[in-house]
Amino acid sequence: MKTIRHSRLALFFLFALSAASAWAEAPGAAPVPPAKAVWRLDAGLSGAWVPSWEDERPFLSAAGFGFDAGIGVALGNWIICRGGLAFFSVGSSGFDASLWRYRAFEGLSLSLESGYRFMFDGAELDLLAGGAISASRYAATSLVTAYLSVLLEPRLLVPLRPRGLDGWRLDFMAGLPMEYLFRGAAQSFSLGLEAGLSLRLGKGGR
Amino acid sequence: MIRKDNIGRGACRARAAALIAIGSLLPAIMTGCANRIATPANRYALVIGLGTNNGGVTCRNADYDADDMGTLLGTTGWTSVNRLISSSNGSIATALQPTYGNIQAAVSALASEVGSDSSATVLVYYSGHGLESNGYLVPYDAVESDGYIHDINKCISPATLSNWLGAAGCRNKILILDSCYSGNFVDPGSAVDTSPQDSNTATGTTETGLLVAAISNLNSLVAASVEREGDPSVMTISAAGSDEQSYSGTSAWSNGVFTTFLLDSATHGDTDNDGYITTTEAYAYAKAGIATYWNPMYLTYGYALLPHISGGSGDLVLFVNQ
Repeated sequence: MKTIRHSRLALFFLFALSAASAWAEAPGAAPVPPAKAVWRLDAGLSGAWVPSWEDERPFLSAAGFGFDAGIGVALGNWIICRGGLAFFSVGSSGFDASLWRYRAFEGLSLSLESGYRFMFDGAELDLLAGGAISASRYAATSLVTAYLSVLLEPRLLVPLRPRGLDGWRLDFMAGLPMEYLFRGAAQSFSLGLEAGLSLRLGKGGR
Repeated sequence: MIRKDNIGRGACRARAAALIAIGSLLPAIMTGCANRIATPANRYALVIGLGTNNGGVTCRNADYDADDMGTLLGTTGWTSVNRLISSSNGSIATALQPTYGNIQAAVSALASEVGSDSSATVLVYYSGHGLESNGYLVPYDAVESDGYIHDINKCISPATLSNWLGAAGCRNKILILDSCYSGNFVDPGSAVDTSPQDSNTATGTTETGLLVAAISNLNSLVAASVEREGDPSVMTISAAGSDEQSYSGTSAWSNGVFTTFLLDSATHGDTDNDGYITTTEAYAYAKAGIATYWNPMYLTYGYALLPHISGGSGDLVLFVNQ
């Protein structure tokens, strides 16, 4: 069983990478900008729909929210690496007919992603994929768990032009963070909506 | 003339504003989706209280704990509540003493009531003595006429009780123990319990922080989650850790310390105001009550305790506010 699950994980990463490569080579893609490393800081708030399921238990969903901050570096169209730190909280699910539900949990996660970015008309669409390790606590208990998860997130960056940021670029960021959580007996999926800001460090380049 | 890129930027900002609005509303929408569910008619409980044991050994308030818990369960969504109570108060003592054999038979009767109904819920509540040796529960006849236990096999171990409960063919099982060293019955599953098993040591009732606990147990925790380690089969709440005692309160208390707050949780423990008090909510309420009203006064005497709850991703309704 372990081998099968790891194979699926590997397949997922391969799919994400090949999709990004295919898009990069697609006719009509934006011209490749000069290869200059661009560092960016970002932070955002998100709300999420989190369904969970496990053997002999029903599929029940909960609501969650999170705060995420990260730093990344891009080279040309490639986002080489983005490291993020997030605080998240997922509420209890609804009850099934036997008055059983999934517990609420909250915690911190550390993520590492890479991806590809498409640039058009001043805006930018990032496609990020990666993994995270999370430490969480079942809410209102002293029970701590740690688990791995797989991340996928398309992000749209729209430039803002605030005064006092001479030459720096500030973007409004909207994303659809998706996460598959390997939480032990229970498995969870999180589909979120994220909004935040992204700040390019230094002048020049994109 | 309006520049083309300004139009695009305006549209993007409008879309972004819409995304923010939807994002901020999402949790409210999701919470609002929770509907009131009809209380199922397949919830069976057994309460056991040992106010007295053979040989004149007593456990103050344990009989009242079981009696009050039985009464409460009968009005909070439980289909049937069976009782096994030994007491010097003839009005609450049951005809059958909570002996080893009678306890085993009563748990078997629970399993019979459940039959093959996998969606049923069973609950066993116990208030009485617990042994320092693995928290063994002490039935009436485990104590000999001289007031001592001569054969530990007449006591109920965590494994024995787990076997008895395992005969019930349902997924939902709750075990609540108000006894000394009852933390031995609590299985954290794939989690780490950061609450101390003995609150009367130098570190007192201080719990290990989230990050420290996660980092120091990272390998085992991640391995357990990846291997999809199963949840404990019984949702257990214990009054005390595996290395500490549970207390009957002072003479002013009419129930044991833990059970006092557990009973009170049915009225005041519904933290999400949905009309259901789950095992986690009841545990959290009892723990907070003990930490606030008992431990500050009795920690210096070595009488502190903290309840524990088993791990796993699930939670079950304990009391339905009707």
